[in-house]
Amino acid sequence: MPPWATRVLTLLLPARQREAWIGDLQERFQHLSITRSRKAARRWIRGQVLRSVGPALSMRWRARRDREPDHSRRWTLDRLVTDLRFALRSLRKSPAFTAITVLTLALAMAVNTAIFSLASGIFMADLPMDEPDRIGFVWGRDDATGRTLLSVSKATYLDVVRDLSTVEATSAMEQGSRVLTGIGDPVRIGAAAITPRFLSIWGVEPRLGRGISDEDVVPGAEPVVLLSHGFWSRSLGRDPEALGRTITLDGRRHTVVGIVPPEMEFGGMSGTDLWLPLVLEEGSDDRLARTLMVTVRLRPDATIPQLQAEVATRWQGVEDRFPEETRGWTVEARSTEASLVNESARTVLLLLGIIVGVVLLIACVNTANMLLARGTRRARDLAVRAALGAGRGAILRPLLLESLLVSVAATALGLGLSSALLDGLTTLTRDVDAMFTMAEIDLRVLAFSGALALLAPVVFGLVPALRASRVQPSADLGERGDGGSRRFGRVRSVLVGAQVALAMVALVVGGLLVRSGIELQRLSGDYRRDGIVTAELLRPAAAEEGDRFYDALLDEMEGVPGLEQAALVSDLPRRSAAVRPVEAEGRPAPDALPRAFETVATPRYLDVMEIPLLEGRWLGVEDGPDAVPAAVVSRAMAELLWPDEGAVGRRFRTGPEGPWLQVVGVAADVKRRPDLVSSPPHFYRPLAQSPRSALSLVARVRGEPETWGAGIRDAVWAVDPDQPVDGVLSLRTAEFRDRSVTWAILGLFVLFAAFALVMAAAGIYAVVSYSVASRTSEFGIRLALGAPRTRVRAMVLRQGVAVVAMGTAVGLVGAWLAAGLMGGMVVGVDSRDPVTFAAVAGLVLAVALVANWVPAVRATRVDPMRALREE
Amino acid sequence: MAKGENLGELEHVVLLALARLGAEDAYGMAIVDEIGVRTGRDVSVGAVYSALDRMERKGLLASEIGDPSPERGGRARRFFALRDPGREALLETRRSFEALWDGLDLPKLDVAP
Repeated sequence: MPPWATRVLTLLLPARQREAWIGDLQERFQHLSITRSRKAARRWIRGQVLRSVGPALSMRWRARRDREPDHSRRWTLDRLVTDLRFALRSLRKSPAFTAITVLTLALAMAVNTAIFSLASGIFMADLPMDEPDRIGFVWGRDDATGRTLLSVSKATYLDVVRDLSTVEATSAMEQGSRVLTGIGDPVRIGAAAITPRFLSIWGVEPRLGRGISDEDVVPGAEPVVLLSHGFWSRSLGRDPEALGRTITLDGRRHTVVGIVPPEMEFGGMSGTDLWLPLVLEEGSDDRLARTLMVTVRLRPDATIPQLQAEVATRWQGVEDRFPEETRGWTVEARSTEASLVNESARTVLLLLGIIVGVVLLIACVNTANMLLARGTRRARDLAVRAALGAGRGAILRPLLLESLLVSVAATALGLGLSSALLDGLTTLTRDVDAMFTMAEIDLRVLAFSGALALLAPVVFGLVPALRASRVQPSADLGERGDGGSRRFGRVRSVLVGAQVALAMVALVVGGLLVRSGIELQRLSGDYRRDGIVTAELLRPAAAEEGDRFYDALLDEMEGVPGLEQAALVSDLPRRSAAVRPVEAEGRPAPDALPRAFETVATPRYLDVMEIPLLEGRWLGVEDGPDAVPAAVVSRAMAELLWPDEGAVGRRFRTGPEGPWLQVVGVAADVKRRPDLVSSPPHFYRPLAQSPRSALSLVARVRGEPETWGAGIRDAVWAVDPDQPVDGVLSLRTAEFRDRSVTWAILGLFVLFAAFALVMAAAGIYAVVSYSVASRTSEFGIRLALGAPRTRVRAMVLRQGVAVVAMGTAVGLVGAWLAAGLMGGMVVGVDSRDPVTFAAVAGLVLAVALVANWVPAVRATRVDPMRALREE
Repeated sequence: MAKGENLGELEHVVLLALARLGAEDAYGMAIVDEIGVRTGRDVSVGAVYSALDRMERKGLLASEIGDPSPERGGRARRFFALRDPGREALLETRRSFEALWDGLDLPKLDVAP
C-alpha cells in the first residue's frame, strides 16, 4: 500500500480498529495489484481512504462519548478550573515574560487606539450639518508667511461675501467674550456673535426658543442672547423658565431668547457659552480687523469651484479699491473638507499614525517571538506530559488558556491606558490649530486593536503548543531542527535591529526635550521669579477716557498688608509681546526697519520684577497722558539703534506715523528664552500714555504666592465688584502653564521612548531566547565535548550583539537627522549635543546587553546529558 | 432490542452478511465482499467498520483479534461474531418486514401527470 495512505490512515483511524482496518485494506490492495493492476489498486485505495474519513471521525466521537458517560457538564467545568490554575501558575513562574508581553501589547494597543481615535476625530469629524459638501468656508491668507486663517474683516464680508450669486445663504461668526455679572462672581465667559443664518447653515436648530433673527442684528435693536446648552445646564440647571430672563453682559441687560443645542459644542466652539447677534455695520471700516469666521451654503446648482472663482473676482475688486489695506492678504473660499484641519496638524497626525502602526506591528511580532521562544523551551516538559499519557487536549488547553489570559490582561490594561492617553492627547491638541477636534475613543479602532491583542497571543501561542502536543507515532513523522525558522530568524533579527534603532531615535529626541525642559525651568535670574503673584485682568473700558480702574487698583494694592509692590504690565516677560518696527531719529532709516518688542507697564514694574536699571530713570508718574511721550529701552535696543552713543535723550518712533518717543532710561535685558545669547530689542512705555484693556497684574508679596488668590481678588473687587479676575497664579506656575503644551509633548515622547526601549529589549530577549532554545542540543554537545561555558555564552552573545550593534548604528544616524529637525524646539542645549547622544547610546547598549545576557546564561546551563539524550 | 430501537439499513445488511459468513470467516474485508456479491452494493470498508462498531457497542455482536499475516503487513484480522441480542434483532426486523409485505401486491403504478 502506498506509504502516504498508511500514514494518513494511521493518523485518522481510531486505535481499536486501526490494525484490522489497515490490514484489510492492505490485503485487498495486494490482491488488486496482482489480479488487476497496480494503478487500479492505487485508485481503489484512494477511494477507500477518502470514504474512511467520515466513519473514522464518527467512531472517534462515539468512543470519546462513551468513555465518560456520566460526568458531562461538571466534568468540563472541573477540568477548566484545573487548567486555568495550571495556566496561572506557569505564567507566574515566568513573571518577566508575562509582564513584558502584557505590557507590550497593552501599550501598543493604547497608543494605537488613542492616536487613531484622535486622528479619526479630526479627519472624520461629525459636523452637525447635513451636507457638508454644500458648505464653503472663506479663508484669508497672509501672502508673506503663507499662513491661512479662518478670519476675514467685516468689510470683506459686506463687500465680497454677502451678495455672492453662487450661494443661497451666508453667515459670519465672531468669537470673543463677555463679562457676566449678577450670577455669582463676575466672570468672563466665551461668547460668539453670529448672523441670523449661521445656525441654519450649520444644520442646528435651537433647542428652545428661537435663533437670531434679522431684527436682532439691526443697529440699536434690543439686546438678545442665546445660551449654549452646556451653560444652560451648568449655570441655570436647565431651567425651562430661562427663556425671557435677562442677564447682564458687559453691563448691559440681554434677554435670553433661545438655547443652542449641544451639537455646536465642539472644537473651537466648545468654550462658547453665549451666542449674540452680530451687528455687521459696526466696525466695518477697519479692514484690518479680521475677526469673522464666514460660512456659506451653496445654491443647489452651484459648485465649490464656481464659488471660489466668484470670491476671487470680488476680492480682486476690493484689492483694486483698497490697495493699502489689502496688501499682502488674499481672501479665498474653500470646501469644508479642505477647511477641516490645519496642514501641519494633519501632517503631524499622519506621521504619528505611521509610527504607531509600525509600533503595533513590532509589538505583535515581539509577542510572537516571546511566545515561540517560550513554547520551544517548554517543549520538553510537554513531551514528557504526552509520554505520560496526557491527551492532546489536556496539553493544549492550558497553553491556550495561558495565551488567553495574557490577551485578556493586555486588553483590559490597554483599554484603561487608551482612555487616559486619549484624554491627555485631547488636552494637548486643544491648543493646536485644529478647528474641529472631537476625540472619543473610536470604537472601531479599539475593536481592531483589541481583536489584535486578543488574537496575537492565541495564534502565536498556538503554534508551539500544537507542535509540542503532537504525539509522534513513528519515526517518519518526526520533526527535527528548525530549518524553517532559520529563514524567519533573519527577518526577526532585522526587526529587532529596527526596534533598537527606533528606540535610539525616540530616546535621543526625548532626552533632548527633557534637557531642554530642565534648562527652561532653571533659568538665569534676569528677573525675580519667586514670591510674585500674577493675575489677568481684561477691562475693555480701560482703553477709553475717564476710566480710572487701573489707577485705583494700584492705590488699593498699596494698602494691602503683606503686599510689597504691585504693578501692571501688558505681557509677562516670557509671553509674546507686540512687535513694532522702530526707527531712530536722525539716522537714515534702513529699508527693513528693525523690530522690537513693546511692553506697556506702570511705574513700579521694574521694582517688582527686580530688573536692574542701567542708565537714566524708569517710567514714573511724571510720564502722564499729557507729558512728553517717554520710553525706556533695553540695552540690546540701545546698542542696536545708538551703538556709539548714549541712548538716553534720543528719540525713536514705531513706524512713519508713530509719535516720537523720548528715551528716558536703559534697562537690563530680559532674555525671553534662556538659551538665546542675545536678547531681542525691547522697549517699555508707560500705561498712562498708552492705555490698554488687557493687563497682567504682578505683585511681590510676603509668604507663598499660592495663598494670595483671595487677597488679590478681594483687592480687585474692592475697586470694582463687577471686574472679573482670571489666572491668579504664582509667576512660576503661570510660566509653567504657558509651556504646558511643550511639557505634554515632552511627556509623550519620553513615554514613547521608554516604551520603544522596553520593546527593543524584549525583542532582543525573545530572539536570542528562541535561538538558544532551538540550539539546545548543539550546546549540549559542545559542553559535553568539553567546551568551556564561557565559550558557549560568548557564542550566544555574539549573535545578539551583532544585531544590536547594527541597530544602534542605524539609530545614531536616524537620531542625528531627527535632532536636526528639532532645532527649533530645543532650548538651552545644542540639538546635536554629544552628551545626550552618548548617554542614550550607552543606555541602549546596556539594556541590550542585559537582554542578551539572560538567555546566554541559560544556554550554558543546558545539561549536556539531557541535550544528548534528546538526539 | 429494548425501547423499540431498530436496525439501521446498513447495520441490517452488515449483520446479515456476518451471520452468513459465520464466526470463523467474518472479518472486515470478507463482510464487504459478501455484501458486494450478494447485493451488488459497493460499500466502503470504513462504513462497514462503523456499522460494526455501533452494533458492538449496542451489544449485538462481539469481536476478537486473530493472527497476523504477512500479506497484511504483519497485521492481524479482527473477527466478528453474532450474539443473541443480535440474532433477536435480525429476527425481529425480518418479522416486521414480513408483516408489512404480507398480502401486498405491487402492480405497476402509472399516475398521470
